[in-house]
Amino acid sequence: MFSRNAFKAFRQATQNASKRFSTQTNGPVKASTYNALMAASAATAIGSGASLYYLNKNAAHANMEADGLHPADHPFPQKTLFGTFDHASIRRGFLVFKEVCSACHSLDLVHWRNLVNVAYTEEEVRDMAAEYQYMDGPNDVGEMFERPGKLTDPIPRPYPNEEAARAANAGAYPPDLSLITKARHGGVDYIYSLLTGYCDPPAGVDIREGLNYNPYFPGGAIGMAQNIFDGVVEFDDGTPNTASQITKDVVTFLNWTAEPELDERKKIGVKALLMFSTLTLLALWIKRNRWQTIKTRKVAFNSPKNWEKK
Amino acid sequence: MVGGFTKSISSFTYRTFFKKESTYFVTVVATGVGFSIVFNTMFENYWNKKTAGTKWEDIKNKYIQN
Repeated sequence: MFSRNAFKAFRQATQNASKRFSTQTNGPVKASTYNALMAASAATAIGSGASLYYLNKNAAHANMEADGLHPADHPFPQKTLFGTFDHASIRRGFLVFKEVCSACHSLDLVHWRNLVNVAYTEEEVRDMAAEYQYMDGPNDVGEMFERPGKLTDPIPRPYPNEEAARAANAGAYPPDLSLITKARHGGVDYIYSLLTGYCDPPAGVDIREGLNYNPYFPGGAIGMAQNIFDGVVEFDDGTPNTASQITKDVVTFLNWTAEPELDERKKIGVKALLMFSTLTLLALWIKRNRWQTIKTRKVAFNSPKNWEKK
Repeated sequence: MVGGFTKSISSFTYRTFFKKESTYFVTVVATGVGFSIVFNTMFENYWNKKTAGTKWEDIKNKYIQN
């Protein structure tokens, strides 16, 4: 507990420290000592807080398998603060999705028209959509009919509903991938590590029949088998189709489906940072300039001579 | 001669643009419009150079069939 003297000294030191342009009256605590004490206590608070946070975050414990192995930091260009998508990679990634992933995974939130002028030309998307048949509304005589796909249609689902998906995949539901990079902790790094991370389980770890071991998956036992190997997909632009290249492209595509606005957002972000930082510095300087008259003003008090002491 | 004034650029600017509210308003709007045109054009040139080869516009020529 503060003694009364120490409290008075602290209060005086506060008032001393805030008088920048008046003459320094040395109270019981010097302003420099007070500032040093405040800096030291702030540093202690921040330092201990940060240390406790990181110690807790990186602590080893017996159930780390439940969290999944932490994925490595991969150099996707769109991950950096000002980085944008590689649209050639998005194009290749959609091909991978169509040929490998769409057998089990849906992409409900993406329509064919979303691909136009992002990864494909309009003619290309029309041709791709027309390869699929869609059920359409009642015709003049009240029957449902099938028609080839249009730009306005969504990317076709492999299963009509979740129950059918579970039935076809031994009870495991292949999640919709439209937002998967935003929906999983670790984002693109996690999806990439997951897809390339299949390996034999360590000694003593038993994975039951039907599941596969993947250290990056929380719990270690994932329903999906490894699907991406060297050469499963042939790229039309001549890029070598190694498993890591295929995975990188499909992950970039999935990042685009989750964040189609990323290119525009980063562009606006840089503009905003430039403008706001400039205006902030301008505002700070103008304020200090206009306040100089007030802050440097001196007040002189000449007491009248004819005051009588009571 | 319009009253007495100092023959400086700042004084000229003040008298022509900032003294009357009507001209001040026009100055503000015109400066804003002009700045945004110049800033956006310059920024877009910089941004397009920075992201050259990655955007759809850069790769679409390979896939257009006329």
